[in-house]
Amino acid sequence: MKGWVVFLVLLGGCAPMPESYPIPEQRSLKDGPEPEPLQAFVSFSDTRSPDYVVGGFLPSAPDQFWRWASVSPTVRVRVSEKRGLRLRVNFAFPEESHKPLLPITVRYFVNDKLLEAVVYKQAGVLEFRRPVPSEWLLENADNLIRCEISPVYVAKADGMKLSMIVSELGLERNE
Amino acid sequence: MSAVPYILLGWALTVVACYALGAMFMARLGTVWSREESVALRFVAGAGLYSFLVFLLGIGHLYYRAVFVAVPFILVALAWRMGAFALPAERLDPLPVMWRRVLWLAAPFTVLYLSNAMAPEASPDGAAYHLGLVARYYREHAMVPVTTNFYAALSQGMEMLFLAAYAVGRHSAAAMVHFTYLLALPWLLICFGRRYAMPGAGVTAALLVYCSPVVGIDGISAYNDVAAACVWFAMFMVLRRMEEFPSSRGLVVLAGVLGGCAYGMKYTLFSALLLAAAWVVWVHRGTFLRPLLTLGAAAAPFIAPWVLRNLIWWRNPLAPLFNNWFPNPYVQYWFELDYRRHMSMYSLTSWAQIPMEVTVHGAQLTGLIGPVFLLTPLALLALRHAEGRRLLMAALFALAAYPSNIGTRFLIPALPFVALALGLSLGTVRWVPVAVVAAHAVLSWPNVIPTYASQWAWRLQKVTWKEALRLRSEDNFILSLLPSYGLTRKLEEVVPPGRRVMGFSQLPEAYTNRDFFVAFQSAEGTGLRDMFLTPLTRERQATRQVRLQISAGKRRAVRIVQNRNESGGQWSITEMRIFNGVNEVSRSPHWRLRARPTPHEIQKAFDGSFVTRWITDRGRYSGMYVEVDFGRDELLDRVILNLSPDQPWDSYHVEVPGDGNSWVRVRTDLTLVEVTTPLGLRRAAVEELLLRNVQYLVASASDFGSADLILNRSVWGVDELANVAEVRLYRLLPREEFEARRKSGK
Repeated sequence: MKGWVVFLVLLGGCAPMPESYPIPEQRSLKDGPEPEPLQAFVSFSDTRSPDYVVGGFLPSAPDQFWRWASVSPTVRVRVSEKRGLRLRVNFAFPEESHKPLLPITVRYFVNDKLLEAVVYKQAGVLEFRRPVPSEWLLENADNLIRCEISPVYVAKADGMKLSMIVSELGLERNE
Repeated sequence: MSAVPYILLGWALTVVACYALGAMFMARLGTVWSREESVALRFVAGAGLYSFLVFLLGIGHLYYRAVFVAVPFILVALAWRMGAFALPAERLDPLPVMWRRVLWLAAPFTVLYLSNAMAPEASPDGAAYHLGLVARYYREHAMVPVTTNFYAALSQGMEMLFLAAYAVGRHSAAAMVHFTYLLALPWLLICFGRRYAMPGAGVTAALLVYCSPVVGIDGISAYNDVAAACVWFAMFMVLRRMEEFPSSRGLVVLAGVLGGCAYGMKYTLFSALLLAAAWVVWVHRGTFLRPLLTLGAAAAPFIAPWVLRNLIWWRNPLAPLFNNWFPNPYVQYWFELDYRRHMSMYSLTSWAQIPMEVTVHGAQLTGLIGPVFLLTPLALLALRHAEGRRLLMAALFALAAYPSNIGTRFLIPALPFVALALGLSLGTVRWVPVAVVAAHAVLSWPNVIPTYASQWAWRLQKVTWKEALRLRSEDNFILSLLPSYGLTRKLEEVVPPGRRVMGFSQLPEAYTNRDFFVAFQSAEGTGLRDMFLTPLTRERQATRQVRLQISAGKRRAVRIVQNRNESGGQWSITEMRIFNGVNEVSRSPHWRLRARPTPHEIQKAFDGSFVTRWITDRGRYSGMYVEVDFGRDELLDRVILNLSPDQPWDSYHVEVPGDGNSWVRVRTDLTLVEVTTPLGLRRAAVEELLLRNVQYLVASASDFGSADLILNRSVWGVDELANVAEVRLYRLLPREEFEARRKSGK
C-alpha cells in the first residue's frame, strides 16, 4: 500500500527540471602532484616503487622492503644516458619453499630482448649483474625489465604462484 | 544443499503461475483453440499477465521469496476452482509419421539446451544487466529507479518473470524461464502447420528455428529475444484465427494483450501492435473502430507501466530513446546518437556483409542463425500461397526495427515467419525440406560450428550436465566464459556495502551485491568518465581561453550565445568567469545559472575545477547559450571562457537584458589566448569522483587510462586492491588519507 502511495505521489509530482541553478561549491585551484620522472633503478623500500611495476608482482604489505614476484615480473625504468649501463637484480629464493624446486632457471629480458638465462642450483639471497647493450635501451622513455622464472612455487593454500622475492632491480652504471 | 532443487522449484513455480493465469484468462475469452494450441498459448498469454502482476508487486515493495512461492499456489488454486485447467476437446490433425520421425532431430538439441539453461548463467548481457537489474530489485524488495544504467529504462516484461524465478532459484531459474519459451515457440509453429494443413512446413520451421545456434544460446540465457519471438508468433496465430472468427471479441482482446506484452518485453517489438492494428482494420473492414479500440485497451495495461515509470523516473516516457524530444539528466542525446550509430553498423563496413555474418561467420554481429538460412530468398516462393503472403507480411513487420540494431539476435522475432515461409516454399518436393533441416541440425551442432564459423561466434560450446547438476564448480564454469567474474567476486570481498563502484566496462553484476555501475551507461557515468580522462587527454583540457570584451556597464545578467551550426560537435565550457577590468566579479550565492541545452550540467562551468566541464548533450546549433543572472546589477566588461581545444573558439557573442524579457546583442571583441591548466589534474579528477560518491574504480587493461592508473597510482591517490585477469579494482583515497600519505612521503 505504502508503495502505491509513493508511486501516486511521484506521479503527481512529475515536475519539469529546474530552470536555473545556484553557484556550486567552489574547488581549490592550487596545483596538485604530477608524476615525477622515473629513475633507472627501483628499490622496493621506495614508496614510489608501485609506479615502476608493470605487472607480475604480488601486492605488498605496508612498510615491506621486498615484493614476491609471480611467473613474469616486469618493471619499467627510465635512463637519460643509455651507454655504460648494466642490469642488477637483487632477489632471493627462500630455502624452505624453493629448495625442492632447484634448479631454477631465470631468463632476464630488457625491452623484450633476452639478456641472459641463468640456471640457479642453490637457494638463498642472490644477485644478478650483467652489462646491457646500449642499442637495446631508450633514452627518456620507458625501458621494460622482465624476468621469467621456471619452475615456480605454487602455494597450497590459494594456488598463488611465487617465483622469487625481489628487493631491488634496475639499470645502474657499470663500475 | 544443492542449488538444483531451488533452480527447478523457482522455474516450475514461475511457469505454473504463468500457465494458471493464462488458463483463467483464456477461459474467459471463449474457446476457439485446440488442446495442443491451448497449452502453449495459456503459458504465453499468462506470462504477460504474470509479468504485469510482478511489476505491481514491485511497486508495492513486495519482492520477497515467500511472495513468489505463495502467489503461484494462489493462482493455481483459483484456476482450479474456476475449472480453467480443463483442456478443450478439439484436437488438431495428427502429424504424419514421417514428420514425427523428423522431429527426433530436436532431441539432442533439447539435451544441449536443457543442460546449458540449468548450468550457471554466464551470458554477457544476462549476467550483466538483465539479471543484474533483477538482482538489484530483489535486494531492494521493490522496483527502484537505477538511473546509472540506461538498460533499466527499457521495458522489462521479461525481467519481471526472471525476478519471480530468481527469488527462489536465482540465476539459472531465470534462464530456465526463457528456455520455456524456447520450447513453446517450435510447439506453436508445429500447431500452426497442423491447423492450416501444412504440417511439413510447420515441422520444418520448428526445427529451423529451434536448432538455430543463436536461438539456442539466446533461449537458454537470461535474454528476451526468443520469448519476444514466441509472443510475436502467438499474436500472429491469434490474428490468423481472427480471420476465421471475425466477430470474436476475445480474439481481439488476446491479440491486444499479446501485442502489449511484446512491447513490454522489448521496445523493438512495437511493430507487433502495428501489425495487429492493421490486421484488425483489414478483418473488420468498415466496422473496425470498436475492435481497434478494444485492441488498444487490451494492450494498454502492458505498455502503460513502462511509459509511466519512465516518465516519472527518467523524465522521458520512451527512455532511453528519443532524448531529443524529452531532454533529461539521465541519458544524453549525444550518447543515444552514438549508440544508435554503433548498433546500426557494429563493426561492419557495409550492410552487404550482413547475410554472411548472420548466417555463417557469427562474430561481428554476435551469433549466427545458421548457413541454411542463406536459402531465405527461396521463402519468396511462398508468395504463391495466401498463407505465405501473410507470413512474409508478418516477417516484414517483425523486421521493422532491425535496421536500428543489426545484431543477429534481433532477427529472431522474424525467424519463425521466414522459416515457415521457407518450409512452404521447399515443401513441394518432400525430401528437400527433410534434407534441409537435417543439414541445419548437423551444421548447428556445437562441434560442427567451428569448422565454418568464426572462433569468436557467440554460441553454445557443449552439453554441460555436470555444471547443470552442480557436480562441477559454478565459479570455474562462469570464469571460463566470463573472466571478469573473478573481479566481481573480489568486489564482494573487499568493497564494503553501501560504497559505489564505477567501471569502464560491463561486469557480471548479477553476481555482486555491491553498487556497481558502468560509466558509459548513463549521463552521470559519462560525465564521471570525462573527468577521469581529462588529465590524460589534451583535447579535454581547457588549454584555450576566449576573452569576450564588451563595453563596460552595469548589467543584471549576461548571456554567452553560440552562433555556429555543427551537428557533429558539442559545445563545452570548463570554466566561465566574469571580469570588470582586472578584477574578477566574485561568484555569489545570489547568482542563478541557466543554459540551453543541458541546463542541469551548467554548474560544472562555475565550480572552479579544471576536470569538470559543461558539455551540451547534442551538436552545436546557433542560439545555444549560457546565462548568469546576478540577482542585482554588476559592473562588468569582459567574460572569459576556458575551453578545450576540440571545438571552435570564435563563434560566440554576448547578450544582455533589454526591455522586458528581451535580450540585446552587444558588440563583442573576441581574443584567443593559449593557456596552461593547473598541475595535479589526476588527483583533482579523483577528488571529483569522491565528491560524487564514487569510492572505487574498476579498470580493465583494455580501458583507456588503465595503463596510467597502473603506473601513477601514487599521483592519482588510489590503492590497487585486486587484479583478476587484468581487470583491476582500485580504492580512491579520501583527501585526508592522500594528504597524510604525501606528507609522510609514502
